[in-house]
Amino acid sequence: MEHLNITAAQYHRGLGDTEDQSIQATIDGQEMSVPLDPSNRHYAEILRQVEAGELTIQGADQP
Amino acid sequence: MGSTYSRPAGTWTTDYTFTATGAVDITDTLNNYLAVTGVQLEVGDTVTPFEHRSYGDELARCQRYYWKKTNINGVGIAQANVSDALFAVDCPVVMRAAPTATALSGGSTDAVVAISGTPSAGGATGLVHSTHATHVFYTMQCSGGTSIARISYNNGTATADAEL
Repeated sequence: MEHLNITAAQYHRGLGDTEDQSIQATIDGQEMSVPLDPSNRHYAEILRQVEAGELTIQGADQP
Repeated sequence: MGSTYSRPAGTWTTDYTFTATGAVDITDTLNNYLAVTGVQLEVGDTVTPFEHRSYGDELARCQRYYWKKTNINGVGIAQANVSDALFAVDCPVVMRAAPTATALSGGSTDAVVAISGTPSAGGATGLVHSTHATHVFYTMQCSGGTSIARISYNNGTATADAEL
């Protein structure tokens, strides 16, 4: 797995949503929307960095 | 090479010959090149029949992992400050997994048309709501009023990445 430079991560939910839909993350300097799918390489890397204590995912803004 | 060291192809000779008559010297001009096609990598030590894939077939196989679309257009209905308008963009093929997606860029938003209530202004538009192996949902919002409004997004560009 290539190393991804993830500098920010926050759960995202839209207006009216009651559950988190994705993670808004800055990966290698680019804003991206990462699905909560373990098969997605970006999500897997976010979970790995969280597990390693290298990254914290902020809670979703409350609409 | 000239005629001194060349002989007609398919003939035997007893003197020093390096090439067939009329052969092209690939080194005679800068930037000459040799094109090789029809190469197929194999896993393991068994040779299988050559697979001739069409451009469309190869493109579809690639789009399982990544795609970029331009000229994306969408329209939805939202209630100001209460709900997002969503519109879906279908993936060209079913992707390997739910993709990482970028927000729509490079497009424009139509004026918000109030259906009821007081007029509202356009809010954050073209952000990704959620992604799935078959489609990506984008959001459009309106704010500053109480209306239920129609919002359009025109000619956006987006990418989706489900690579390993």
